[in-house]
Amino acid sequence: MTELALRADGLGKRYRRHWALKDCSLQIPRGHVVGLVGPNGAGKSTLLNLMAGLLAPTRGAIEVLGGPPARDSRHLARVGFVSQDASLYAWLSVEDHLRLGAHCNPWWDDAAAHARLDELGLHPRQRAGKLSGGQRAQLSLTIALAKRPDLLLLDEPVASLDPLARREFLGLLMSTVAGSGVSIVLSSHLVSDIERVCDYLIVLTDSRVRVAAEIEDLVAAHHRLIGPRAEGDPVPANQTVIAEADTNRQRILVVRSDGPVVEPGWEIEPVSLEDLVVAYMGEAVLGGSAASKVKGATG
Amino acid sequence: MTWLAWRQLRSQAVIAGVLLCVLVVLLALTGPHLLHYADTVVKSCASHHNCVAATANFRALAHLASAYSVLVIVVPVLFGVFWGAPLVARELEAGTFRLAWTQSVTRVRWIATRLAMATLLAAAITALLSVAVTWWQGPVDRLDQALFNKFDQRDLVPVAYAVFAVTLGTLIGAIVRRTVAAMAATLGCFALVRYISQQYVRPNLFAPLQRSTPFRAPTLVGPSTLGHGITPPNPNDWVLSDQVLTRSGRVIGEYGGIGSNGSFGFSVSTSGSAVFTGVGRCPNRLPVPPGGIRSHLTHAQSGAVQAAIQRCVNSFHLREVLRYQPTSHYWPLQWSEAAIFLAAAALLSVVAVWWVRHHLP
Repeated sequence: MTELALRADGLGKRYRRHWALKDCSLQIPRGHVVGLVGPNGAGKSTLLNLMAGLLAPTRGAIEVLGGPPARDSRHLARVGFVSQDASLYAWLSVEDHLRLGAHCNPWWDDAAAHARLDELGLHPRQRAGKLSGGQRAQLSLTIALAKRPDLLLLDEPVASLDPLARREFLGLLMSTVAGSGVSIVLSSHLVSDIERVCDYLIVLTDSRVRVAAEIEDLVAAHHRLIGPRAEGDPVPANQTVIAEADTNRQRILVVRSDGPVVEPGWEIEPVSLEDLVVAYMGEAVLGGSAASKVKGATG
Repeated sequence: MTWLAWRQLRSQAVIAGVLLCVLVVLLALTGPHLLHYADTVVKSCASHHNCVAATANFRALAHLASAYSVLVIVVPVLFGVFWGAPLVARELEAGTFRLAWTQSVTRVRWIATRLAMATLLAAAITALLSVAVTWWQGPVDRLDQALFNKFDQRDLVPVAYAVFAVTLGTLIGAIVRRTVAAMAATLGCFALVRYISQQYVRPNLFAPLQRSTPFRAPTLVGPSTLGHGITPPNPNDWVLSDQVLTRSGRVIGEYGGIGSNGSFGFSVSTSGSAVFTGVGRCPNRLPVPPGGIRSHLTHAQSGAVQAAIQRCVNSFHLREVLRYQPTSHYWPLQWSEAAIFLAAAALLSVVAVWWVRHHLP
């Protein structure tokens, strides 16, 4: 697959005087389930809306599936979008929403859409305005999936759901798209959601992309180094320090290294995805065993 | 996309259609009787010398006429406010544009289809309403003989107003992005445009005809002739202005009066030298009766005063000039005004499509 799911070059979006997204350059191949993670207001929604063609970039260029977003109806047909609040027409029934989809999309899979409704237990006559947050999200996803898109964009699809519904939603999503080759970009501010379903990670903070790579590679390339605390000790060579924390006795680093890590005098630990994300978000990293050690030391 | 555009208007269109049907039935039931009464009793009333009673009866039969006329004026506004203004604004407010614009329909086609659907439905409903009311009002209008007073409640122009109102509302809604604010703004803008067109465009679309007579003083005794010095050839003609001009062409009054308050008067000294108020000093003296000019005058005395006044007035060579649109201009004006509003609507549609394409959200 030579066509990229997303290519962004110096992409930026400004609202009045505030940059919601800045200098974003990405190349993501097709076939991934991409997790877009970052704190609220980091620019996740902005990036997804730019990809859906609902926003126009202020700077730079963006291409989705090899073309500018929403360029024509054919391109629109290839991209499914589930917005943050699961935008639906409150006065239209569940069934009317499927009719809407059927009338507005060339490759609409009506049988699959209705089967999903049955599976979800959504009553066709129910007005969308009367649905719960979870049901709205499910209906939105049903519409997006029935388009049979090549790329599915999900903007905080589970933000309004309780943990159980969250698990169910993501589980259903993954089982539906398994093996279909559809690329997915989904945003969340919870790493656990991402960890469960994604194989590619983008960390966004302060309107900027901090890291973007396959999760497997990321986890393999990052380590936690714990060493004795000594004033002015040099940071181990050949490592890029992502985050560091000093305690009374210890120094804890999260580093990225491309080769094998051999650091005499340092204890080397693997780093969890959550710690990795938190490290990129620029917070102190005291997860796992290190945290308990620190606790013991200070307490 | 057509399905969605129709689905979004369906319930309101059905309500409007039902109301229209009720009205049409009402008009169809009462119209023939009204027409028959006008053609028989009113037409022949002069020969029976009972025209006052006949017209009064006819007016009673047609007592809803003004209500129907108001309806024809109001309906286009309602379409602009309730169909036009929310068309884009509500989508933006409710966030549903994110659903609508991520289906396999480009924004340009989305707005074009929705706009076309709304304008066509509004035009069709207004057209039926206008045809029905115009037919029903026929006998009333023939009696009233004031064709142009009802210009914007009859025939073609209401349809053009409706189309214009919907596109205006849509564009305002797309720019303002708030439904209620857009509704208010649409109402205001539409009223303003209609006022300007009525006051400044319609009277001047075609060169008005003129009629001119020497200015005559109103008679002192008997019914006052002030303001009735000149009339258009056909009572249905639309009088634009009725001005009093000096010999040099300066306008000094309107509707047979002098000055801004339309009065006619003289200040007379005891010696009889007089000033024609607002015009100038009379060359002749006015005969002042022993009891003063305000005293009760005998017939001969008032005749002498009248003659002297007329001599004074004549000395200034004033003219009364009537500008009017003849009845024959009615249809050309209907077509022209409808064309102007439709052209404006087309322009607004293009701007609305462009705005939705490039400036939203």
